[in-house]
Amino acid sequence: MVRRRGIYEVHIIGKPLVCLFCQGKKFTHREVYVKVVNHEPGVQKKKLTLQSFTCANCGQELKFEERKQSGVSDIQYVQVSD
Amino acid sequence: MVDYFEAEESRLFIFDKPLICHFCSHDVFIPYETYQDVEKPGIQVIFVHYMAIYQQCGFVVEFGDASRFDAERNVYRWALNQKLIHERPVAEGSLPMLTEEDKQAQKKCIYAALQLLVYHKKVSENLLTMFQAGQLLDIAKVFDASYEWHYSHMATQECLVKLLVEIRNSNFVHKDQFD
Ligand SMILES: [Zn+2]
Ligand SMILES: [Zn+2]
Repeated sequence: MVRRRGIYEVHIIGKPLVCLFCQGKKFTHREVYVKVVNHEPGVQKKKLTLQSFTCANCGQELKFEERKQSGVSDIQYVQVSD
Repeated sequence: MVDYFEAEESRLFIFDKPLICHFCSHDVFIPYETYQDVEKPGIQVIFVHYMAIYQQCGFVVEFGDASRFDAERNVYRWALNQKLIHERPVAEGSLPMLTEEDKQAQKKCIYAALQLLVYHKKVSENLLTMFQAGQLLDIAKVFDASYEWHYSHMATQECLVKLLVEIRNSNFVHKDQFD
């Protein structure tokens, strides 16, 4: 899932995602890619794929790496508005 | 004390303060050195940025390297420390143990060696800035472009060796000065 439109409440490993700055619970979502510096020669460049959540109230960004357990993501989304 | 974090499961410390997940309070991370919309860190680019991913919930903590030279106490203060969860096996007896005193002494020697090389215009003054930014690997690479650390805890010693070899090869005293 590269991008979800709308605003979501999010649970990660069963815990509600809460903004660290303003305690907001509503977020927009976007998948982002981050390049990693490589100190070992001859090893392929690595890229992190992260799920980025931006607080709909204050703009603070929180990022998570998604994990799957038997095919089920540990990140659950509930859409609360468009 | 490390020059950079290895991307292995570990506990991380910044100025001896353990890094704890803001989301779930656990403390085992895999750190990645990253660059975002900047040049790749290298010579004259003083920018280090880390993303550590907590291994339980996937939360990403972002931070920089706050290591710096403390001019008042004349010591270099390393900010980053890493304790690997799974220590990698190393050949027995192959690695000398360096104490913190050893490393501080080696850093003083590195600084003196750099001043000597700068004075004789063998290297650019930028290397002194790089030293103050803790970029020992980049300094070693000035003399050996493809050089990589084998063991990061040996970084100060390996960097010093590079500089001493350079001084030996530089022949500051010219033969004709004796004539
Ligand atoms: Zn917020
Ligand atoms: Zn966590």
